[in-house]
Amino acid sequence: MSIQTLTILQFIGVLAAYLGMTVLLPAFVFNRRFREERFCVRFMIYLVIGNVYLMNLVLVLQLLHISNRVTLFLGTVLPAVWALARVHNTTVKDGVLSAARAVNSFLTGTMGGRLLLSKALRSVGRLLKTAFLRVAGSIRHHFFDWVFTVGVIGLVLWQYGCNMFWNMGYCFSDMPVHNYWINALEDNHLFVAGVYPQGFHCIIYYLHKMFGFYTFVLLRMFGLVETLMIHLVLLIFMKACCRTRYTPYMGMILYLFANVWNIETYKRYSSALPQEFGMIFILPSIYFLIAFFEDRKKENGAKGWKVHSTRYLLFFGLSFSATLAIHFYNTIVAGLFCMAVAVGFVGLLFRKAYFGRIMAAGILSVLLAVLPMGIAFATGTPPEGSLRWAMAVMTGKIDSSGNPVQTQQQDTSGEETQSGTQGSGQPGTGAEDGTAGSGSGQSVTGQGGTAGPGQTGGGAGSLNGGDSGGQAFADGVSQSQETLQPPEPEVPLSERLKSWVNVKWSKTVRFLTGLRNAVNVYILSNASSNTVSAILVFTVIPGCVGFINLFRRKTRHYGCILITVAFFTIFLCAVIMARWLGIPALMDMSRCSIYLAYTLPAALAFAIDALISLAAGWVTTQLIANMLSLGGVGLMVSVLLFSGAYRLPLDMPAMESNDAIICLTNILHDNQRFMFTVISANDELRMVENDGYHYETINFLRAMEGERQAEYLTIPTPRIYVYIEKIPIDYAISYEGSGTRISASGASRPLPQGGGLGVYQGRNRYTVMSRLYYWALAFQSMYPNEMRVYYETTDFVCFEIDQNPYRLFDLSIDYYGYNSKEY
Amino acid sequence: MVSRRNYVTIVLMIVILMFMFMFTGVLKQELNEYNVNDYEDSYTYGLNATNMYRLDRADNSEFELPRRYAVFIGPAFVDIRDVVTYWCTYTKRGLQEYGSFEEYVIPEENLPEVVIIDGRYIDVDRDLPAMRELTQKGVHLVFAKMPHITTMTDSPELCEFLGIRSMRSREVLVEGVHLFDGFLLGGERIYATDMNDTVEQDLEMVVHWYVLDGGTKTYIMGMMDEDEYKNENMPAILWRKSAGNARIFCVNANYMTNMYGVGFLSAMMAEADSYEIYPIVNAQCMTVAEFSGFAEDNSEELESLYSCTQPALYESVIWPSLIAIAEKTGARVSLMVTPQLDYSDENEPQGEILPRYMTLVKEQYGELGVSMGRVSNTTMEGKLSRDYAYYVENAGDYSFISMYTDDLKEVMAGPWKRYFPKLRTVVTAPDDDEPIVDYLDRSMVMQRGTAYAKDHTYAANLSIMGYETALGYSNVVLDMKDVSYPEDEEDYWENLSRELSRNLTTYWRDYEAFTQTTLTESDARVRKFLTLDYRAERINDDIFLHINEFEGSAWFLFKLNEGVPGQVQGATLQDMGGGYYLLEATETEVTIEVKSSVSEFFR
Repeated sequence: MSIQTLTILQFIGVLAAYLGMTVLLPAFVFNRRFREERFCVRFMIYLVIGNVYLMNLVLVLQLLHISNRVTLFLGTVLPAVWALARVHNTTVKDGVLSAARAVNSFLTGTMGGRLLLSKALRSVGRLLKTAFLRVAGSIRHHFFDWVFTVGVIGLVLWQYGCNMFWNMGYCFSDMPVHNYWINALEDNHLFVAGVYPQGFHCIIYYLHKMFGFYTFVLLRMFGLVETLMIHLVLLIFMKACCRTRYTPYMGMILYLFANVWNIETYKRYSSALPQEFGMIFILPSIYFLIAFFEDRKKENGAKGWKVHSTRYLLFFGLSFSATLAIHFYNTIVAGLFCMAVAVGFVGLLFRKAYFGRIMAAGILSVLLAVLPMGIAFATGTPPEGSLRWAMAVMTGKIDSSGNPVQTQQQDTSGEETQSGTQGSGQPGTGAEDGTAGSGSGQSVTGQGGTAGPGQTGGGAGSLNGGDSGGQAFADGVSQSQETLQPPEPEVPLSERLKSWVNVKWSKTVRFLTGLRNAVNVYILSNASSNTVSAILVFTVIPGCVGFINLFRRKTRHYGCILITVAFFTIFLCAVIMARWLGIPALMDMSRCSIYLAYTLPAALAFAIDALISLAAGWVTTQLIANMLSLGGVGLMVSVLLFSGAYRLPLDMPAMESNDAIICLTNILHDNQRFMFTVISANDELRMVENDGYHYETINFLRAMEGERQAEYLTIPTPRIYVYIEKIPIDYAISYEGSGTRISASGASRPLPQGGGLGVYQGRNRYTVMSRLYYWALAFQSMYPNEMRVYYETTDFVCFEIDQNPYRLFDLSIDYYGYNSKEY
Repeated sequence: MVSRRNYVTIVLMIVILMFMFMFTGVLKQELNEYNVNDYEDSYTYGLNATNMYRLDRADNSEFELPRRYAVFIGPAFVDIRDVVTYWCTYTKRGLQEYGSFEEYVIPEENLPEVVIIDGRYIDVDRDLPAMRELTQKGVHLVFAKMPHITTMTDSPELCEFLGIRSMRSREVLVEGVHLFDGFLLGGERIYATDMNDTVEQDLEMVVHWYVLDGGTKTYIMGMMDEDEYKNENMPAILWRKSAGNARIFCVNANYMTNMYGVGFLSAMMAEADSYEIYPIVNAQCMTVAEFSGFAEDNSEELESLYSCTQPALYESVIWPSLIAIAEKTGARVSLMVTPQLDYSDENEPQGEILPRYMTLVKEQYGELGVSMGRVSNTTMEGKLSRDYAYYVENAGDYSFISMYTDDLKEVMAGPWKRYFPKLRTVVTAPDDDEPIVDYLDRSMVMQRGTAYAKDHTYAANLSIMGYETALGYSNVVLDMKDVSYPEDEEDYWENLSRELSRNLTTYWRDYEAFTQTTLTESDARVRKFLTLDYRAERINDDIFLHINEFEGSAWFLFKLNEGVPGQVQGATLQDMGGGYYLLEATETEVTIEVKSSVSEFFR
């Protein structure tokens, strides 16, 4: 079987398992309860129930240290049976008795085998017929919706699925850490590295434990699954809120197909990462909040909690808690969206019938998510490092790369210098740029600014870069400083007013230009500045049209939604411009750009929807409005196709070669658990942790370096695999000799000093791999029958060593003098 | 009243039932030609000592490929020399012998495959450079005996050369011996009991304690307290050191002084290269010797023990047990009968018993032979003449082809040809100092027992493994004289049969792939084995085996260290574990494809 076929099968398996447990199972249980809801709303409800339940199930079992396949199975099935009984107004006991009666009648012969079989076949046939008729009816009535939805799914799979074949390894250096945390759940060690939101890890662990997927396979495949869900949720959110039928697809096409986006805004979709997984729950939480407002209004302030609108509040709370249980950044964004909802629905929010309920739901949702972490923290588990880092970034103590932020006042000339330095810098790389920017600002002026653009890594640099507004602002500041000098004659009020207006205007122009530049650099980097300006103008339209809609009772709710969307876009823009505005940076630029990029297509879709809906209300009918939106979709696709401005699939280089993944897949297939050891550079450490042993290459080589060669070096497993990259990959860092084939000259170099990833980066990796290769050659000459090539390509080779576990080989040998040389 | 119709029906049913039950028995009795030896025809005409492969004919070859050869360096009087000589004969290698390295000049071309050294007689300063030169040229070395301990102590260079890191102790009493899987045919063995002083433990337990260096592989290890010592530090008994393309094998025990050392040498050569093919006999025999259930010998003692006379004991007690064991193991019984053991008493053998045994043996696909054992002072000729008279009178025209004796010299000097002209194979008692199969004269084959059925010590087990590895041959001898004339309680049949059953069903299980034969069948196979000549070569991923002319099938043992066999032409393969395959060649040209052992499940 080819690895490509296997990958497809694995992906289908993971997708089926995830959707089965988080959508189909809740749908099966709660179908009767929610069947009056629209399909898109039901999908969100089931998705939220499934995910939140599984996360909390794992969290509870982990905290009790009883998490295993049996408890997970029971924890899934028993509550599902109980809930099913409740939904169907019966009891579990009745259900069991009914089943027992059926079994009894079969065993006693009251019901014959043929009758039972025909009954079962008939019921299955009825089910299939109903499903088929429903789907066929749905396709007949919503043909274009089906076509476009399938098209969107196909686009997602094409854009992000190809990378699964091209680059099979982990694409981000923090993935081994997540792998490690998930592996720790095997031992019921929930917060192995400290308190951290574990929702994502719980879901992966659940799928691993219940369905037997290897964790590393899940981490490879789940990226595409979660990306698919992120896009589906965006589509569903728009479908649930928009008034014309096909405008949501325009937003999706823009997001998925238009070649305007900076790769930084979507490259993280290539991997299974908590932040992206948490994005799935942002829009459902907002939708449920909006739906609550709509539903609650119909209830006319009915008292008590047993009202229909409570369900939306419940799902809002669950979704919000899911964001918090998975990744704090999603909570921040969801919080900003809630603030936007507060603005949009300000007329309702502060009423007695709404405010208390919303606040109660919000507090309870936070408590639900924080409780497991709080318990762990209270029992002495310290917060995980990245939490401290995130808090420090939010409070402005450090930048995203971990460098301390200077709190001195920044001189404008310093800003200019930074602008010049960083304007040409690579956006989003943060660490180097930010550090350099800060340094240059200080060296020129001796002053820095709290909101210094340098700290956020080039964004603010481009914000100012070559802009006349920046100069004008600088002049304005200079003028204000000059006014402190000698007393000046009284200026007439009109003059002062004019001057004030001029300053404010220039400041506003500068802000807007800066915003445009920031969006151009970080988000829409493949679009011209005019296009960016147009898009930004478009994002304001929902607000304006929403305001108009407020005047009609019929469209007031829709108007609130439009205002909400517009304000959410504005809030995210404010976060991007936080340094400039002097407000706390809630998250670093590169992460924020992902959310803004996720929001912009929705904002544009809402803008178009708002305009068409406005027209539909005044000059045309809903049918024509739908046709207009359909035409818009066709036009957009045609323009992108014929202009060649469409996006090609993401090609995200991995931190590990495809050969290493293929090799590992085969090793796991060919060996019993814990009967093998892999000697390799790094990523395999966590990949094999639950099934075998791993020995770091650098430790292996150091164990026979110099005088240590005389000591025994044994690995106590019957099989040993040695990974060697014949052309060492660039692990995050390249060097001038990148792509050089391993050689004797590489082996002649001393082993790199230090620890961590540094020994596998740049030229060090070349040295390490060259050394290991010559060790392998020397060892194979000693054990030609026991050591063989397990897998080999032009870039990679894996050796397999068979040894007697009762009499282990001494792996410490002199390999052509390289390890006994004096350096 | 029974009606006539019912009466007829009942009678017909009784007749049919009678027929069904009696028919098979009658048929078996009538069609059983018990006085004919079915295996007589297994003999291939012309296979005798004249066309057997001998070392002095090593230069004659019908193949284009050069014959591989070994060099033995050591005095002519040592036991190892005989082992090496027979190993070369069995594996069709050439052999050169030298008293010391001083006499041996390393040739520039046509290097030996292996140099086997008796380490006790080397001079390190003089011989080490020559040994280094040999290994540099890719010649394997076998230290069949390790140099004296003082030599080792005085020469760190030699220790390093042999892969010894340090000598922990001059002598150590090990708790057991661990033979690892993949070396000898049959797999892993742990020769250890809780108490080393049991009768089973007869291996050499005091060894020099060498701790090995990197680049070595241990095949046999002395076992020590696991809590106290790591495995890699335990005394090595048989190991391999790599020196470039050459391998140096060291045996830190006396295994190579026994004839089963031929198996060790074959196993070493199989480990030294990527593959090894050598011919084997492929015969597993069970010889029931001195079977004397015809006369009432030693009646007084047997009656006191079993409350019956010897013929009754054999027929009603021993024979059923023997058949049960034979059926359980699949063995073909070769019943080596003797009409009586004591010719001095007046109890003559009963004539009617022999045909009964002949019938029973035939039903079990066994064979009858003659035994030369006796307890009285009767001469060989006297025994032969009296036995002959008995056989002529009671065995009809049965051709006795095999004979058992524990005194080979006496038999060969006797006039047996006059009485048994069709005799062509002689089986003799196990002896680890003598060859296992050979010609006694131009046409008479000698097949030595490889083990006694009643005793199974650790050394006996090791010897079985050695013989099976070298020859694919075993011959279990059950000497019934011990039952007829018991010396201690162990010889009582109830004890003996228990031991016999345990041994035969346990220790030969790993060799079920080999064919169970009678002695006449194995005689034919031995003749073919001794006559066979072959060459093997590997070209890329194909191994070619060229064999001289043979009839029917020829058997080889094939060991593949790298990869697994793919398509085979001209032969069939049967996996025997540990990388060994039983190759049954049906054509003179055999091709074996070697495939990668690495699975290519996901690529």
